[in-house]
Amino acid sequence: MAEPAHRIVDDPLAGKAAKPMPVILLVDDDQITRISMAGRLKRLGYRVIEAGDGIAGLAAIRAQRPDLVILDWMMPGLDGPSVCEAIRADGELRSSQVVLMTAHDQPEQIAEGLSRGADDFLSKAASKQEVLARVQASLRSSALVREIERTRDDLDRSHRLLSAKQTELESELQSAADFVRAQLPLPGMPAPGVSMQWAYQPSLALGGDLFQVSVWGSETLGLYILDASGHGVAAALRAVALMTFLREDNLAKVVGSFDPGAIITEANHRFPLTQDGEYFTLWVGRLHLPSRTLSYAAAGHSGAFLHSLQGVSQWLSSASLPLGFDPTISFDSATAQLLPRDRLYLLSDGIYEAPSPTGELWGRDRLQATLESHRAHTLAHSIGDTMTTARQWLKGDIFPDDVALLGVEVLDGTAPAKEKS
Amino acid sequence: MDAQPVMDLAAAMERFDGDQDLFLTLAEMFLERSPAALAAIQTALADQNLPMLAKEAHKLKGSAMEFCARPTVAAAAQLEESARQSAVSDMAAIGERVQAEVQRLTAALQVIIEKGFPS
Repeated sequence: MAEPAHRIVDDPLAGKAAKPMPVILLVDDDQITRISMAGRLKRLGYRVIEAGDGIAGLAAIRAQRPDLVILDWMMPGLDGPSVCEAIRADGELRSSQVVLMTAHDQPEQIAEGLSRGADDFLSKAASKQEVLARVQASLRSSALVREIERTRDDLDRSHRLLSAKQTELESELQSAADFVRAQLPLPGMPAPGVSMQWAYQPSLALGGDLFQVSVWGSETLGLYILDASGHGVAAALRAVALMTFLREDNLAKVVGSFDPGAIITEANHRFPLTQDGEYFTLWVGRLHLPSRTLSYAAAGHSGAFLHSLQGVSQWLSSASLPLGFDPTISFDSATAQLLPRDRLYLLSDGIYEAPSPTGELWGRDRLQATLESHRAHTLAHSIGDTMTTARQWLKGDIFPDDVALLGVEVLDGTAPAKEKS
Repeated sequence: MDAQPVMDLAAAMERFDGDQDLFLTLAEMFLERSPAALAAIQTALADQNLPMLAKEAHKLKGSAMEFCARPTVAAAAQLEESARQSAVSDMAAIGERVQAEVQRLTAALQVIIEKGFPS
């Protein structure tokens, strides 16, 4: 319906064969002038609806939604400017194109008309050419406004669809995240004489960090922490795959032992670098409960810290390649002797690489100092407080990388102790 | 006073884009309405009802404009303005002139209705 601005066409029917003719509503209480204008507009090719007063005019606008409204100025009851105001006040009608008819083009009249909501003016004395030109110009504006409204409605629809999709996706992600979180061990006592607590905060709904503490065979506690490279769903899927490999029954069958070195050596064969260059880091420990001897091995993962109350605290790691970088190499186990009330922490680099707002990393030294400062507190308190301290460093709640912090405490005495809260 | 033609028929036909039927319809309406219109003006003048006088003069002006009847338009416009300005002294005289011009216009329109458009 809109014509390009530079084309003045005498015949409004030109090029419009396929489109419906614009509808013009003409509101004028004077029968002679109304029939005259209506006749002239119809002769120009437009469809014309007539109304004899302002109230009927408003009703006609609502019912017919004409492309253009032409209002006489002086009318009994609601005059032209009042009808304009009513149109602009109505949420549904206010984008209508409105022309006010004037007896003469007086500047004061124009100023008042504009301020009360008219888009343009048309003198009753106007020639045929002027009527045509003004009507065409108004119809162009009207068509533009309609286009904008259509686009806005399309946008609203698209937005609603997108939001619904978004909600659906988030719900699915949450289900997946819940599933992954359900793989984690229940805090408490995984075995007599051992208590365990943890904190887990992936940077997105899902992450690539996972850990496990469970009984392997008799009198042995297996522990591990793994980190799948990347973030999000892909990393979580890979992490779960490695977790499945590390199940007690699978290890017994495939590795034939619970020796950490042997486990990692086998994992190194079975989980090469992916096509996209993704890999795992892994730390595996095996705690012999009667002797409290810990054997451990690592593939690129250095997040194991032994906080010894009576003995020497140490990081249980050494330089090693992540899984899959060289499938031919083998990994050896090392050992450490745990004493009662010792605490073994397994943690992801997301926690000690937490950046301050200025970009400075929290670092392992500060992490170690924080963990050690809680020597007199419960394990749960120590972990909770360490997370809080890390967040204070971050000056926020959202870590840029996945965060996992697991603590295992060898309880005092031979009798199983209840976890102190 | 009669030097100016009562209506510019060529201009009127230009205005209506040659639509003779439309012109005739409007002419008949004007003829039908003009007695009551003139009576209303007389009543308003007699009652010195200035708002009514302005309204009726305005309406007459608008109708006359359709036929490009410039003398009638001018007279009606003058009457309307006097009523708006409350310039009562000349009102009666202007009212008379309006009456005369309307009668000239209706006579001219009657000719066209009966005898058709001049070629």
